[in-house]
This record gives sequence, structure tokens and C-alpha cells, in this order.
Amino acid sequence: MAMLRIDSLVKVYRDVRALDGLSLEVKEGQIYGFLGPNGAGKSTAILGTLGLIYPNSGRISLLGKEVFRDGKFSEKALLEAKSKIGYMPEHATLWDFLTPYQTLDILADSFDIPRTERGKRIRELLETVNLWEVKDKKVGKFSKGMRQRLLLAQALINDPELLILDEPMSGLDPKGIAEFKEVIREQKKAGKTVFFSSHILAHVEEVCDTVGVIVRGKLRLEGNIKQIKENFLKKAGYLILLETNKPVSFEGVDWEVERVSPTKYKIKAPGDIREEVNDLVWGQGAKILQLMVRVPSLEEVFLSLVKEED
Amino acid sequence: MWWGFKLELKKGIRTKKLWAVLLIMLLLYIPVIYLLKQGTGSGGEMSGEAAMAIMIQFITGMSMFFLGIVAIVMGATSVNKEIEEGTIRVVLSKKISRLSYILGKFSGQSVVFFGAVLLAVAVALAGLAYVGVDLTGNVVSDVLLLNLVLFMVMVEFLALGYILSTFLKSSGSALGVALVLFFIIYLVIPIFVQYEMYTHAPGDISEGGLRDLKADYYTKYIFYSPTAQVEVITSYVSDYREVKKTVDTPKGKVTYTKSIPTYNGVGHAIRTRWVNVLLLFLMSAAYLALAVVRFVRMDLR
Ligand SMILES: Nc1ncnc2c1ncn2[C@@H]1O[C@H](COP(=O)(O)OP(=O)(O)OP(=O)(O)O)[C@@H](O)[C@H]1O
Ligand SMILES: [Mg+2]
Repeated sequence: MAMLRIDSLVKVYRDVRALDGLSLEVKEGQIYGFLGPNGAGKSTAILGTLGLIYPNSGRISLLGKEVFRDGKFSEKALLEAKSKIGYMPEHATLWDFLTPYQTLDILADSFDIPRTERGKRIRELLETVNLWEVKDKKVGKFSKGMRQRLLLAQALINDPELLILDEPMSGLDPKGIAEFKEVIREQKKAGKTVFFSSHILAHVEEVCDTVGVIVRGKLRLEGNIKQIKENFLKKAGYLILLETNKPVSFEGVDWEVERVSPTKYKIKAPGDIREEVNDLVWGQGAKILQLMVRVPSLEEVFLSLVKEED
Repeated sequence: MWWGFKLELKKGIRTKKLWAVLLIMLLLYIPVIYLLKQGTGSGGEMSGEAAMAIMIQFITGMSMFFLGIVAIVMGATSVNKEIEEGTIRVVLSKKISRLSYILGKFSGQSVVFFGAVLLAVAVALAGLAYVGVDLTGNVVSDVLLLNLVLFMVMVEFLALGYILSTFLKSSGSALGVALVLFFIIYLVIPIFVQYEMYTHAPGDISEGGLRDLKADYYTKYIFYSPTAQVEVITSYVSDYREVKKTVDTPKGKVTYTKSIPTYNGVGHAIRTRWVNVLLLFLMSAAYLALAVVRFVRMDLR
């Protein structure tokens, strides 16, 4: 079953087309990394799926039920879906005058979690995010990282089937990030679905099984990390560093060649052209002193997708 | 609806808003009670009715000003502030609908005001007892009714503030607009309406007639202002009795009419000016409805 499904979603803020026909699907049990540069529309998409902003058109389904269509949310379906969803917003504060315990307690109130179970659950969560020792301290006195961890805890209060997190790792120190990844893995083990956004590949690469890349409001790439890399290689191409014993001519080929020195070249080509380069050099009676292939990192994939747009 | 309501109550108690409102009300009572004490102390006797008349005069004017500002500012920064801080996105990602949240929030804030008003009533009664007024049933009900009317002023300003809060994204600018708007409807418009009234009033109008005329003008032209409506209502706590008086002058007898006010109580005023009380209700509902319609469709970011 698709836990989250977005179909040709469009959102226009005054003059900005933040979502331009976004479509994606998150299946049950997936850990889906929603990647994109700043301003790509990640938060817009997430807010739209939760009914926190109104998309202009398109369709949204949550946990198999359609919640948005023809510019309208179905209030009933949305409420039902929200009872099984956990959401962690991007830069939000919680109530300064409450303690973490009180915060989780009052939020738990909206779901019908029985009193007896509630205390246990809150304790578990605060321990998971390392806030149990400060459970009676006012949130107003918390550091950014502590607030971020409380935000994560509140997203888990109803033991959600689908966890939607917007830039969950921003503001966390390396230890916090490691702990966060642990939480994600726990969720995966428990069979839950996680959808989280980030603009940092390294954050996504380790924990996600599926990645979608959004640029300017459209999904540009989707698949598992390996697939994406392969796909991308086709697109972004290979970069070959070549050194020969004497100058060679590249006339007649359609690769992008940059002469670094009389006998050193940087060649960009759409695929693996090592063979062809070999043939060309030998064919001109020269010798290859060095041939290096640089496979682009995901970071570069990303940047090239962004650049492609400009 | 319960959820937003409970949160607002918690906020009201924990964030000292209630106490700020209360403090303002109590500060207003101190000079009044002091004045009353002066009046009774200097050998003059003060009847419960006279004391009430003084309290009403002082307290409605002053407290409408302060409480009105508190209410409109609270309203004007209620929704947009939560959007800025992001709490609303956390809340509405839970199993809570927008409609129930905003209605709960509004009722919660209203109940906080109500609590403050009840405490103010208690203090007012204690103050009256202190200056030596018999706390008869009439006095108690008058103080209570007066404060209920003040409560309605707050609710209407709160609702008006909600409109600003849902239409202006920045809580800072909403606060500024709220203050300007408050001064316009509290001060500026009444001045124009009164000017208009005086230019149309007959020259020989009696005090009672002038009051009736003002009530007509305020009801017709400032129906959207809670303070104007309450001004009308409270002007009817006393009624005027016209008495013809004749005095001897060197040039012979001269007769003139004198208006003598008699205190009839707040209940009487409310019964006479039920239209204005109704306007308080209707306009609060209209303001709130507009804010709610906007809120359920707005982007919360
Ligand atoms: N309230 C708003 N009014 C107008 N434009 C907006 C508003 N909110 C966002 N935008 C624009 O919409 C686009 C998408 O923004 P969004 O916040 O969804 O991006 P994002 O991918 O989450 O970026 P980031 O990584 O910085 O969080 C941006 O161009 C942004 O400027
Ligand atoms: Mg974002």
C-alpha cells in the first residue's frame, strides 16, 4: 500500500511556483529521503500533505485514502489519517512555558491515548531522545538541539504508522545525528514508514532505502541510492583525466575536452569512454601515461541537476 | 474543541496573561474606591446607588480603554504569532481540525477574560463594602452585570483582533494595526459622530433628549464598536426626571426645567438598551465568523 502518494501537486505562492506538478509515492515500510536544494519545495510539499497549506491542484493520498482533490481537503479523511501520522516541522518552537513532559502530555491529549499508557509512553520517548533528565525543565531554557529532539519526540507520541520529518537533522550535533539515525532504524524495524526531507546527501545516504530528488517543485530523480548514482552517471557523465607522452588531437569526437597542459586533458563524456580514449591515443602513435576516471558523488549529481535548470 | 480550549486555559494561567488583565482592572478600582472613601469620609453620606453611579462612570470608561486594548492586541497576535513560532503546525498535525482548534482557542481566551472579570467583581464588591456601602442584592447584581458587559466588550475586541490576526501574516504589523484601529473606533469615529449629532440637534434639547439622540446616533453609525455600544448602555443606568422650577428674580418669576437623574441600575439600562446588547453579541459573532472562515482556508506558514 502507498502510505503517501502525491499526484501532480501544484502550489503557487503569490508569484512563486513552489510545487510544479510534483508526483511521488512512498510505500509501506520505506525509509524515503526527500532531497532537494534550498527553496526546492520540500517543506511546501510536506505542509501540503498535512493540510497545513492549501495546494492549488493535484491529489494527495495518505495511508491509502484520498485526502486532497480538486483544491479541497476532505476534513474527515485528513483527521483520520493524521491520527496515524507523526510530523516534525522545520524550525518550529514549542511552548516555552511548558516542560517537555507537559508538552508531550498535552499533545497526547488530542489522540485518545489512555492515561495509564500515556505516562509510560512519554517516559519512553523522552528517554529515546535523551531528555528524560530535563523533563521538568521549562522548554524556554532549552538549546536548539534539545528543542529539535523534543520536536522529534512529539512526532512519535501517537506511535505513528507514517513519520513525516522536515529537515530533522538540522541543528543536531554529530551525536544527535547518530541518535536520530538510530530512531529511524528502530522505526524501520517496527515496520513503520518514514518520509524525511534534507538538503544534505550524507544524511540521507546512510538511512534511506529510497531517495527522491526535488528541484524547483518537480521530482527529478527517484530510486534507491545505487540506481540514482547509475542513472546519474548516464546523465552527468564520466570525467576522465588523461595524461599522454605527447600532445594528441581530439578532432572529430563529441566529448568535452579541456587541455590542462600540452599533454594533460580533462574529458567529459556521457558514458564510459575509456576504450575509445585508448584507441584514439594509440591511433595517434602516443602513449597513455595516466588515465583516471572520476565517478561523481551524489553531491555532484545534485548540483548538476540544479544547474541544469538554470 | 476541547483541545484548543484546554491549551488556552493552560496558557492563560501559566503565562500570566490573566494576571495582567486582572491587575489592570484592580488598578482601576483603587482610585475609584479612594474617591468613594473621600466622599463618605468627609461627613457626607454615600448611598449605595450614588456609589454605584460613580463606579460605573469611572470604571466603564477607563476599563474599556485598557481591557479593549488588551483584548484586541491579544486577538491580533493570536494566530499569526503561532504561525511564526510554528506551534500551530505541530498542533494541527495532530488529530485536531482547524475549525475546532480556532473555536476552542477563542473560547479558551474568552474564559480567561471571564475569570478575570469575575475576580474583578469580587474585588469591586469588597471595595464597595470597604467604603461602607451595603451589599444589597441590587448592588451585587449591578456590579456583576456591569462586568459582564465589560466582558462582552473584551470578547468583541478579541474577535476583531482575530480578523487582523488571520489577514496579517506578521504579528508585529498586526499589533500596530490593532492599536491604530482601536484608537480609530474608540476615539476618532465617536468624535465625528458626536459632531454630526450636535449639528443636527435642536437648540432647546433637554439632557435626557440629548442622551437619547446620542444613543440613536451611536446605535446607527458605530454599531461595530463595542465601546460605543457600552457607552450607550451605561448612559441609561440613570434616568432623567424633568422638573419645572420657578425662581423669583428682580424682574419677576422665571420658570425653567431641570433634569434630575435618578439611578435605576444596570439591569434597567440593559433592558432599555437591549438593542445595543444584541449588537455586542451580533458583531462579536460576525467578527469571529469572518476570522474563522479565513482561518480554515489559510496557509499556515
Ligand atoms: N509564504 C510564502 N510566500 C511566498 N513564497 C514562499 C512562501 N513560502 C515559501 N515560498 C517559496 O516557495 C519555494 C519553496 O519553498 P520551500 O520552503 O518549500 O523550500 P524547501 O525545499 O523546504 O527549502 P529549504 O531547504 O530551504 O527548507 C521557495 O522559492 C520559497 O521562496
Ligand atoms: Mg524547507
